[in-house]
Amino acid sequence: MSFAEKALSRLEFWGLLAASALLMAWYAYPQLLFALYPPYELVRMLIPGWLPDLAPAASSIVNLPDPPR
Amino acid sequence: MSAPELALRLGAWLIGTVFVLALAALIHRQLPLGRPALSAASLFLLVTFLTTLFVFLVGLLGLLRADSLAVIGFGGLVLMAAIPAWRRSLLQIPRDFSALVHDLRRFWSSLPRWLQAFSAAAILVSVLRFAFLIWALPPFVWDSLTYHLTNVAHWTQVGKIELFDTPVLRIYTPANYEVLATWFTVFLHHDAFVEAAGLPAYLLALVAVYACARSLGCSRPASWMGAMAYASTPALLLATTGTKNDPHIAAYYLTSLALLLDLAGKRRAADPRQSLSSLFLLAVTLLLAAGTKAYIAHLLPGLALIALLTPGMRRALPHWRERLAEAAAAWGSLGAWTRRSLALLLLGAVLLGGYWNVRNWVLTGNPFYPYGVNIEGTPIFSEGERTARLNFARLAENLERLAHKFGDAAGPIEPDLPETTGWGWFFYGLGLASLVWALLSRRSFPPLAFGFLLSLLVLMLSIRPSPFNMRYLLWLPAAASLAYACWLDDLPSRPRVLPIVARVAFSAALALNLAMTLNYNRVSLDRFGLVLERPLWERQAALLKLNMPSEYEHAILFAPAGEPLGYNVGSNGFIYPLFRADYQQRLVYVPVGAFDDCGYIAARMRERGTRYLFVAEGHTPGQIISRVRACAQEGDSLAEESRGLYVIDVGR
Repeated sequence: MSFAEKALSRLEFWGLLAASALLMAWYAYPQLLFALYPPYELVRMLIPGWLPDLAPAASSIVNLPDPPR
Repeated sequence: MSAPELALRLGAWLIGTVFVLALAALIHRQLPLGRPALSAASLFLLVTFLTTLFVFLVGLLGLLRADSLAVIGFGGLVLMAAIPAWRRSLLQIPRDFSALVHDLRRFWSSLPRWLQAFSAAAILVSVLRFAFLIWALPPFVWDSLTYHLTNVAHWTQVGKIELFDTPVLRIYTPANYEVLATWFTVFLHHDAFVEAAGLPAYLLALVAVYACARSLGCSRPASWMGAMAYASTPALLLATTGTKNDPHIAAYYLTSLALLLDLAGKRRAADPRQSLSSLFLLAVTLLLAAGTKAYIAHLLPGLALIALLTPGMRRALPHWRERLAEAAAAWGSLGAWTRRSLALLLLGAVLLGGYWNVRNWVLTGNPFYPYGVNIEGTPIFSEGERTARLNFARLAENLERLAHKFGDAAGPIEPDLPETTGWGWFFYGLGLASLVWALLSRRSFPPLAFGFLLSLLVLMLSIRPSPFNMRYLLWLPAAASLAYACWLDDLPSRPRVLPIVARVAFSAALALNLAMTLNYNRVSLDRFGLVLERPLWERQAALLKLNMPSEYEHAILFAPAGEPLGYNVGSNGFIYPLFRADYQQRLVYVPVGAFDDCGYIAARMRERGTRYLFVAEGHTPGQIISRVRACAQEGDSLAEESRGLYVIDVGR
């Protein structure tokens, strides 16, 4: 394999990995919110008035759609 | 259940299982495929198919009881041992088993050390997770409680596969999954292990993805990593123990793909019988799928495209003609007994594939009852409570909804997949990037990707746009897993940090997938605690208050199990929990109109042989609940026994 081919191959690998990292970060944001929302609510309940109410922003978590048909 | 009774029931289950496994091994020997991965997939497929066929035939004969199944199974084993050719074949099973162990060892030793350790941990965690969820929780997924398990409960209770009077008309839909699920209830006459009915599909899908990757030319470690990545898909993990039929369709789609890729990729089979075996198993798989859920028909154009594109468009016709000629020649070379046995099996597959639709056609004039069929505004079959539409407006709407669900940002992933795809960390992270790479860099990949895309588009032409329709796409993440497997083999080994980074990313994505599906994202720890306080045999779907109105709990507590219980729910109401976990509660549907006279309602109940009438908020139409309540308040004919439970002839 020539030097250029090797370099391209590495570039391909790192490019794919960078794309994966970006996609995972994009995917991670809401997933972390879903994971953190219940403990956040618990802390908000324990220290009333200190933390903002995120329920409207997280309404999709608490208001599920109608049952499946 | 007393210990001796439990032992007898488990013994019956063991005999039935040995019979099915022996039969599967016999047939498996007649269907050589030449490749260990495909051979393993075919064994899983045969076991699933034969179990379904066994229960189906016995169920149609009205012999669906533990003792009958054990007697038939034992008789079958004796018969197999009595026929010399079969006995010789049976005696080869230990040798086949040794060969299987040898193949497994070869496979395992081909994996690098880190992957062996990771796989062992992943398998252990998965086994524990599946076992715990099956053991701990009763069924709770919506569609299961309305119609999938309602069929299972009725058949288990009466010992026969039959239709029955109920307002939930979806019990008419093709029900091969329900037949297989009955295998997990009939022996114990209990639903403690019914969630395990998805495991055969899960394993089949896993092996099928591995076989597909091998057909694409991937190495063993890369194929295994692709298969594990697919197996970690949250939507699949949640659906497997969710008592729904979608994992089965995904497994049958991927098995068909594995068989097609093998057939399409071969220049010439070393043994013509391999072509016959692949084509035979392909027919069995698709027929089994046709009797499981109708949307397999929408996925077929994608498979057909893969079959055309993989050998090359120009070569496709001669290639497939050659495969068919090989299969025909191999069929001619088989002995009379083998030919008859395979023909009988194919007949069984035709029966499983066509029975439900033919029955519906005979009874209602519409094979797809209760779905009417409408293509681009033209009604093809109009009979039905709901309509399956095929049009381009629906495609646009479904794609728009898919775009909204893409990324799973609308809510946590749950078994019903509300507004989410459920494809998880691996798909959105490594999978998507690998897909783009494979499309641009791997010649063998575009035909596969176009096939998946066509299956997706045809499906989207017809499925009802709803928050929950991603369950039909459980097979799709396999494309990304296969792309990833292809990419792994092109990974440069220097500098050494590259493979290490790739391993870490892979392990992290799979671990996150598993972490987000540990408890369905629905069941709080408190709820788990409450369920686990009850002994296994007393855990009831009606008592799991996730989506269950309290009326169901009252029915279990206050309606006598020895008397038939009348019920009235709408077309999407829960029926299954009323049967109780041990299927002891007889149910009768009592039709009630919103303006019926109270005396007339009571007369209806007497006519149907019940003193009790069950209704529930959210499951019975509100007007009917109001009417029944009003009758109870008048007090002449009905009295309220407890919330949602009404009784006549109180003093009897």
